[in-house]
Amino acid sequence: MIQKRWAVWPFVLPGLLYLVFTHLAPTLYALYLSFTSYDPAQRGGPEWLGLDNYARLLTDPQVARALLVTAQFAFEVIPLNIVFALALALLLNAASRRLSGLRAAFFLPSVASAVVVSLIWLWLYEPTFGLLNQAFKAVGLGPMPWLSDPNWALHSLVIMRVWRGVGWNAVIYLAALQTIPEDVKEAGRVDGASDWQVFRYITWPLLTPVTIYVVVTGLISTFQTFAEPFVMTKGGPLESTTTVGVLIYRQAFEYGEMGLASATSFLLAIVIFALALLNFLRVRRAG
Amino acid sequence: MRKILTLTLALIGTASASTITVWYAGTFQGHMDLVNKTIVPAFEKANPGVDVRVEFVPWGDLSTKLNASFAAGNAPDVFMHGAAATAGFAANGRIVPLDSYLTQIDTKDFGKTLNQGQYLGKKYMVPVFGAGRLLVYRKDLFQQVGLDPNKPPTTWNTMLAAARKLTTRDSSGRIQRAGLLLDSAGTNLQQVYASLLWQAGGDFFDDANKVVKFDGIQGIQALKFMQQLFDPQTGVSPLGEPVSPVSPLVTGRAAMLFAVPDDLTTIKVNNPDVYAKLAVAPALKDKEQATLYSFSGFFLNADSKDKADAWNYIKFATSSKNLEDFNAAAGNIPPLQSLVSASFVKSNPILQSYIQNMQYAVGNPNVPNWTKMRDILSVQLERAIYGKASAAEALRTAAQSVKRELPK
Amino acid sequence: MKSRALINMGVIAFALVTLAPFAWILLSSFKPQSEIFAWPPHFLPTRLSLEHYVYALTSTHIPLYFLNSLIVAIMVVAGNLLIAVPTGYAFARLPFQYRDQLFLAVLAGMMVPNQATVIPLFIITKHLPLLGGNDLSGAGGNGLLGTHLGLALPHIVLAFVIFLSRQFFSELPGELRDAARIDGATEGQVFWRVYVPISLPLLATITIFSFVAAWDDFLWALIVGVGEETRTLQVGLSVFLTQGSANWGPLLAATVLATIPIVILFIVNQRAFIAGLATGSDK
Repeated sequence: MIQKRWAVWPFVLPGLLYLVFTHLAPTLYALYLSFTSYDPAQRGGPEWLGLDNYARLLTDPQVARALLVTAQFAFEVIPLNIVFALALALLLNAASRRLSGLRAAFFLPSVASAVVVSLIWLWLYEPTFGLLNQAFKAVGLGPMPWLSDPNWALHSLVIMRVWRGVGWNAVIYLAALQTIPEDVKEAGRVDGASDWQVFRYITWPLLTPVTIYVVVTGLISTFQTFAEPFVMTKGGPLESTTTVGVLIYRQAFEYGEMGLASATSFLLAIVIFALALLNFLRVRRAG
Repeated sequence: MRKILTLTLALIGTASASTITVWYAGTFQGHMDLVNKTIVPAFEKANPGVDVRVEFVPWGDLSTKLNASFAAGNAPDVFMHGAAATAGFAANGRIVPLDSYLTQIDTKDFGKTLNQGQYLGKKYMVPVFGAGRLLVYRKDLFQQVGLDPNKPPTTWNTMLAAARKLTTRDSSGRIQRAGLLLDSAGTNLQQVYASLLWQAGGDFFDDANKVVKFDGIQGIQALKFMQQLFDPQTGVSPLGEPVSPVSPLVTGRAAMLFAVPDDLTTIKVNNPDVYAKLAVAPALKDKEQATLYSFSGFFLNADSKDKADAWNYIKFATSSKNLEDFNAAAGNIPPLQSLVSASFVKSNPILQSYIQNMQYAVGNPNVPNWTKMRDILSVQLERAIYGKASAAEALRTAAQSVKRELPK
Repeated sequence: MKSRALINMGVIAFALVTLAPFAWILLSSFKPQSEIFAWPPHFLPTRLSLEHYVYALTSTHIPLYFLNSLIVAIMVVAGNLLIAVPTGYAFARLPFQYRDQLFLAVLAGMMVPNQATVIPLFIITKHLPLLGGNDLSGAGGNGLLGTHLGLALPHIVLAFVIFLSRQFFSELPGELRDAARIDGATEGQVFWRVYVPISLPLLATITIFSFVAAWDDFLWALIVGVGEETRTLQVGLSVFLTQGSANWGPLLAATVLATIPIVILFIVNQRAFIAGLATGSDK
């Protein structure tokens, strides 16, 4: 078969060219800005600084703190998300078909906007008349300082984020579960394996590709978290919810430090990329 | 219809129409209605050929939008901002000194409020409305615990004593009702600290805004007093009370708090029964009697292509009549002395108290990079009240970082 | 049989936890103004009132914001279906130089947070040559600022859509293409006549995903929108959140209204969407 070389370009060029000017160009410009001092309100434009911004970031305890907060957030959200999503998927897989209409309900939190969801949870977490503390009170538990205690605020954001993501990931797991042939599991049971052993040694390994996907998309979205802490806690109390996303926003739009904000963004991108790559490599070695 | 007409005119190029853009800060419905339905149509009628495009930007989004528009070069001709933003914009040459324009208006009536937008001896802002921070308390709760509701506290010590009486705790020792509820983070924390600092006789910087002074003895005193208020055992305010859609004065979570007039307007509309039980204490005194007042107003963009019409709009929108309507809409403090006797003030005793206390008004310092300095300070104040650092240590840390942000 | 009942109850419990917050907001949005701020609070409205909806729809610019968001979202969906899907197809099925490297670059782009790129893109958008009064060098006018196309700009081709399409098409059998090519079909015919008709799950997924991306955008919409004419719903929501405003009622109503199009879109596409989403994860 004769392959016409140019035949591929009508498919690829429009999309790639578009990305070049809406994504690549701004990213390269931001990369340039990360080596400069640039305050949008200033008239002079960017001033070349070399590696100063990066040097500042690596020695700034605030940046280290924000990275730690972000990492803690990600490493709490992702495993919880997987556990609940998988549990829900297993339940849905075994539940009566009449309940399949409920799947739409599980999706609603993940397709509603982050700002809307944050507003809703701000009401839920309201200390005296919020739904959650009212429910706690009804069963005799004291009011929880959901967002006001520096030891609790990040966990409260984690709970909300997990609530938001479980439905989405559960459906992905569900689809994968339905592709596992019943006779594979049956063979295990014939050999005397318990339900748990069937899950642990047959189902779970077969779900590995899905888990990788959930982990990588989870890394990208949790490490960039901005809207929830910005709307709900403004990064407090005691900076306990100041994620890197919040820090970048402050630098760029409140302090007029666009250069530093760009450098922080690339630092974050490198961290995300490294973690995602690590994950891929681990799988490649395993499989 | 008007829009289509303007568009058509612009297309055929017959009109010598000039368009000016104006950004208002805040999105209070009463303000939006007044500006869109009354002020702008009246201005356009009086100035044929000038088309005013108004946008109302939420306060929280104002810096973001302004920064982006400065970067791209399409900032509005006229924009509203708080007085504390003056220095930053002026130092960068983004706004025009208004001294030569101000000769056209009755500056005497504005009195000292015009000085709030002053930087290096020049005036940059025409004030539109003001807010002050005063102690507001529930008279009924005062009575309940045996305090005289007509004798509000006037000093730090009497305030602390009253607050202790008003504080209630549950069986586990957690504060149920705060005697004096304070924000433990952010701008509000900084603003309450500012008032205490001035009351102690201190200040943020020296008069030339060159030397950091808030880490001095008065600053430490003020912060130590704040630590007392937040003390987990003997304090009167819980740490980290989150924002709630209903005022803590209404829910009974607080007996006293520092409020701006806007906060009280909301209570007046939604919970008139509680509003009737509120009263305002005069500015507190330790060594000095002082409290924070800040005005917001109009700035004129240095890159405006039509400064004459832009100024005309500022002049028009800050006429005595228009300022009266604007301040009446949300119950704010008018910047004109002549409006002190306006009917919306006379019928509002709480607003009157705010106006009377303006004699003790102090403003936040007018220095470039103020937003960042304010945040640096807030973070350290928060550490101190959470007991993570001593007052002296927290202020020293803040002072070191703030020094680096001061212009050389 | 008993365990099946237990399992069903588990699913229902999950659904309740998921839906309760929405139900609460929905109910609250029907409370009369006097009850929203009533103290102590009423959980259920004593009577259902439409006042906040009436207010939001007649006394504010919410209908205009809604229309703006809808226009932008439709542009974004069209752009992704017509431009991004074919690009993903090419990455999966057509051989060309540096294919894998280019794909990796597209993925890497997803990792830079948009707070960093939003100002550079803003500057580019203002200086697009020959648009919005600009001359050939991009000076003089406002480019695409304050236009619907400007609002849609960063979302018209989404990297994630290219990624999802590539995954989907690489799972379809390649023999389909080979067979059609032998029959003399051009690459374009192969794509449109052979692959597109069997890609409904993908197209449904992408419709929803790109609609949501456009509908939820805040930061870009905030700075690019000029005046009421191009203010979107998400930016409009923050109008109700302003200091000292007593607008929680209309905010609740607007929040509910903002969720409706997504719910409708989702229910219409549900079956295909779930099938499409599942394919993204297999490779």
